[in-house]
Order: sequence, then structure tokens, then C-alpha cells
Amino acid sequence: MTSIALKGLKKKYGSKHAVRATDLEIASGEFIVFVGPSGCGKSTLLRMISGLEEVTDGRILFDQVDVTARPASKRGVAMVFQAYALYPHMTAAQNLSFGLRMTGHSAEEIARRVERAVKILRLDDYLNRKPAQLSGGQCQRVAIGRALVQQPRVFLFDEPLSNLDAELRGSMRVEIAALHRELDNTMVYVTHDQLEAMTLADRIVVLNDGRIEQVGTPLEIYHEPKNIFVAEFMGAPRMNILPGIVVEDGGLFLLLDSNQKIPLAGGPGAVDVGDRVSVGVRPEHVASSRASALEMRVDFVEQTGAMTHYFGRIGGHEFRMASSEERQCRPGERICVGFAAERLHYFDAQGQRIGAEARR
Amino acid sequence: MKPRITAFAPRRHRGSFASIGHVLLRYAVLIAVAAVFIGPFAWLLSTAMKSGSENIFQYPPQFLPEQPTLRNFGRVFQALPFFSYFINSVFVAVIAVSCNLVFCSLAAYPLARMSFAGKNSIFLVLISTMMLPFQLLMIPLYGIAVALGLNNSFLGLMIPHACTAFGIFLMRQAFLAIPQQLEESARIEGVNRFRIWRHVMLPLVKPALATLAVFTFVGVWGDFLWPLVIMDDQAGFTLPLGVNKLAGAFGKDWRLVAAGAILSIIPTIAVFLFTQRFFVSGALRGAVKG
Ligand SMILES: Nc1ncnc2c1ncn2[C@@H]1O[C@H](COP(=O)(O)OP(=O)(O)O)[C@@H](O)[C@H]1O
Ligand SMILES: [Mg+2]
Repeated sequence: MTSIALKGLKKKYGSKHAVRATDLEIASGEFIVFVGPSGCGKSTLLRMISGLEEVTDGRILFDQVDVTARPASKRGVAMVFQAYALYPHMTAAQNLSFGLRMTGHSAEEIARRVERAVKILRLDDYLNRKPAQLSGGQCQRVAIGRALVQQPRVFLFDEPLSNLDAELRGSMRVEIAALHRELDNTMVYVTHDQLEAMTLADRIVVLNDGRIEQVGTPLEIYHEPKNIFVAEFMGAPRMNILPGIVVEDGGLFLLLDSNQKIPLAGGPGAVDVGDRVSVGVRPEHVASSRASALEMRVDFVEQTGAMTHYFGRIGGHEFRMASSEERQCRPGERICVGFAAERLHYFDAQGQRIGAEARR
Repeated sequence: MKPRITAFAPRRHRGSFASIGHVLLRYAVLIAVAAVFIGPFAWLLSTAMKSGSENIFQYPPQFLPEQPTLRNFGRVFQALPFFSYFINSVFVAVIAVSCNLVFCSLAAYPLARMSFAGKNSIFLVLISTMMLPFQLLMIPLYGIAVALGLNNSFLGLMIPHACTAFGIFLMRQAFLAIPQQLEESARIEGVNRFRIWRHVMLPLVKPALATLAVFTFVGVWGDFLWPLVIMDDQAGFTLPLGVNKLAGAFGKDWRLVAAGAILSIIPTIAVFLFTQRFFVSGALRGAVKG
């Protein structure tokens, strides 16, 4: 069990900031997920924790001990890579035991650890096959097994499921969650997939452009995104964002540039007439409603079976609605949409959340 | 480095005249090129098999021997201690090739995969030595060999072949092509750099090692100039020096010289056939997918 602390951690490649000064506390035994768009610095941050990447500035502490200068092999971490990184000339069994064999562990010790990994990950059937003879999912299980036999203090995963097809991703996700429950190790997991982040994480760290945008439990991130970036990044389809200006018309309204009005009843006290604000509402909280005056032009409709997604525009802004009812309109049609005022998120002109209280 | 042969990959042709013409033209060119390469060898073989009564300089030249004979090959063994030259050549080649494989891949690994001050300059200097012809280096090299007391010794003969800039370059490129993550996962597991080189990297660059082995072998086996300069004692002669002696000792009986040359080529062909299977690409299959 190991806690991790990052203090002012920075990484520059030449003049490019891959990771800007980052502070983060990861509790012992926590499953923490770094999520963000491609190129935001997730892998760089993970690799600095692993010791594979040197830090430009800042410190890394494991259990309050500074490990910044320690090489990767002395940190007690194990890493699983997106591309598996299995040794192609060795069988699965040899892959599992390679590190232990090379570092002078006794044969019994190696056998014991490999056996345990094989049992946990059910690898028996392909121990004697080489990576080329294994499917992507099987390769990734072997790669996880290879991390397991190291008995590390901390597991690091860099997009381990991104090369797998959707179905396999789903089942591997369940397995990784089960692994965490069983081992109780600290795990740091990188993904660009917000669904993986939501389902696996104890806490999510949302990154953007080398910076932490928000840290929180999956539901905190979902219900109280700190800014428009987090609001849009987490959740699918994306949250709708409508910018406008606050007006008084027998109550507060948000006047959109298409001249449509959204009532701000129950909004945060912090907005005043004349403020430029944006409201956000998740597609799953939008419904078609005759009572509403807010009109959306539907561009296309996507049936997923359980849900139907409507993509279109309100004024000049993209707008999405997700409904469990089947097709209610066709592309090209206009429908009136509504949502409960308490479902609205408010953001100021800089994109920062207004009003901190929970809204559920 | 994965050799990819695409030029002659089978393609489905529609049976139009244009494409048939295309195929014919392509084969004509291939045959012409093959003839240019095989021609001298065939001529050598034919000369080696001509009997003593035949005029090998007649005009117009006669390609097929009138009375083909293998006697010339036998005469080579009588005229020379051919077998002992052969052993010398094998000895020199085996040691030089082994040294080349080990030293070049050892030197190439840090150049490909470690970061240290001056890495690029070192590599540039190494590469630029490839532009100097051996003839230019021969005299200073000889001077050094004499100063070290290495003249007229196998060691002196082998050392210049034991690690080549070309080999370092070839192996560096091969190491560069191996996914970084294979090495990183070994590093995290605490495997030291030498063992990574030995157990992870080397097995994955077998095709490049085979290529280097063949190039080095061909170079060392056929080397004439350097052995001529460094080796005075006939007991230390390699095959090219021996074959050259055939030309001198017997008033240039070209049949004999040709037979000697043919005999000395055989091991080169054998080495090539043996290493060929390592050239098959796909050594990295399954390392990192996607
Ligand atoms: N070795 C490197 N040299 C230069 N720039 C790099 C290197 N590795 C990553 N970067 C840059 O740093 C940024 C963050 O990269 P990375 O951490 O790999 O992003 P992510 O994993 O979130 O997709 C990117 O803009 C990338 O181009
Ligand atoms: Mg990445």
C-alpha cells in the first residue's frame, strides 16, 4: 500500500510544456484515473511517476519518501502499456517470468508468483504461445500478468484497453476493476475514454494541455464540472453549452444570440442582469416538450437501441438530446426542447463554474 | 530494419496486351541484369573446366569447354597447400565475423538507445569514416600494425575487420526500429542494460545480424589487399593470396587460377544459403500491435 504525492511536477520538451506544474495527492490503495484528450500530457505524467521519464522540475513522493531521483527499477512500480510490449521472441510464460529470472529470484519464488498471476488472470491456456499467436485481449492479460508477478507497490496503466475492440474493452474493464478489489494496490490508470474513467475510478483527474482541470469522484465530475472543458469532456453525448446574456423580463432569462430565451429560475444568485454566462445541460436531461419555447433544428438522429440521440442546433450552437423514447422526429424537423432548471450548469465568461452547491 | 521486397510482389494482371508487354519487358530487364552478374562467374567456371589442350584465348571465344574436365581442381590441391590456406581463411573469417557481430551491436546499442553527451558527434564521426577508401587508410594502418608488432600475424590481419563503421551503422538502425516500450518494460522490471541488450534486443535484430554476418564474411573472405600487405609468411596465407600465387607460380595457367577461384567461392555461397533463413522478415511480429 503506497500513497503518492506529486509536488509542482513539470515536464518540458524543449520549449513545449507537456506537463505544467502539477500537485496531486493519491491515497494509498486508490484507483486513480488520468483522463483527457490526446496529447494533454497523461502519459508523460504517468511516465514521470514510473521513473521512465525524467522530471523537469518538482518532486514525486511515495509514502512521503522522495523518489524523484530513483530509477524506474527502484520504485516498485509495474507498468502496462497500450501496445502490450510483450517480448515477441518469448512465450507467454517466459514473458511472465523474464524480469524475475533476470534479477536473480529463486526458481521456487518465480514459480510461485507466476502461478498466482496465471490463476488470477486465467492464463493457463496460452502459456506456451508466443505473442504473435495471441489475440490482443490475451496479449494484454499476459502484460497485466507480467506486472502482477513483480508484486509492485503501484500499478501503472497507460491506455491498456485502447487497442481492443469495444466488447473486449468492456469485459477487460470489469476484470481490471476486480483485480483492484482483490489486490488493493494503488493504481494509476491513463485513458482518453471518459467511460473507462467513470466506471473504474475512485477519483478522476481531468487533464487538459498539461494542466489538471479537476480532481474528483466520478459523480462529482459528472454533476459539478468545474469548467466548460470538464463539462464537455466527461459524458457522452457531450454536454450542451449555450452562451448568452442575462436579461430581466419578469424574472431572469438567458438571452441567446438566436434571440431565444431560457428561464433561469432557481439559478445561482451570483448572476446579474447584463452578465455574459453560458448554461450547460446534459443531453440526457433534455426532453422534447410542447410547453417549451426553445426550438432545436434536428440534423440527424442516431438510434443506439436503448437511447436515441438527436443532434442539431439551437441558433448557431450545437445541441444534443438523448432520450429513451424511440424516434420522435426526423432530420430537418424542428422540435421544442425543455429541461428542468435545476439541471442547468452555469459558467462565467471564462468558462468557470458559477455556484458551487450540488445540483442533482 | 525489415527488408521489404515489393518490386516483384505478385500482382494480378488483367490479360491485356499492355500488361503482357509490361511483364515481358520486366523479365527482359531482369534477365539482362542477371546475365551481367552471372556472366563472369559462368566464364570462370567454363575456363576452370577446359582441358589443357584447349586454347582458352581462341577467337571467337568458346564458351562451352570442348572436353569438360575436373582435373584442374585436383591440380590446384597439388600445386598449393590449398587446404591449409582454406583453414587460415576460415579461421580469420570466423573470428572476424564473430567480433564484428559482437562489437558492432555493442557499440550500436548506446548510440541507438541511450542518451549521453556527444552521442550524435560520435555517430557522425563514425559514419564519415565510411567515406574513406581502404587504400587511403592502408599505409597508416600498416604503420600502426608494425608499431604494435602485429605485422605478419593473424591478429593484425583480423583487427581491422573486427568492428566496422558500416556494421555499427547497420545495427544502430536495427535497434532504432525496435519499439521503445519493450525496453522500458524490462527496465521497470529491474533488468540491467547489458541483459536487455543480450536478451531483449539481440534476439529481435537477428535479420540485421545475419545481414552483417554475410557482408562481413564476404568482405573478409575475399579480402586481398590487406592480407597481401600484412602477411609475409606463406604459412599464414589466406585463399586469395594462395590463388594469386597460382597465377605466379605456373606461368599464368588461367585454368588453374580459375579452378582455385571457383573453389574459394564455394564457402561464400554456403554462408549465404545458411543465413538466408534469418532474412525472413517478421521477427518483430506481435511485439506491439496497432
Ligand atoms: N519524447 C517527446 N519529445 C517531445 N515531445 C513529446 C515527447 N513525448 C510527448 N511529447 C509531447 O508532450 C505532449 C504530451 O504528450 P503525452 O503525455 O504523450 O500525451 P497523452 O498521453 O495525453 O496523449 C504532447 O504534445 C506530445 O507531443
Ligand atoms: Mg498517451
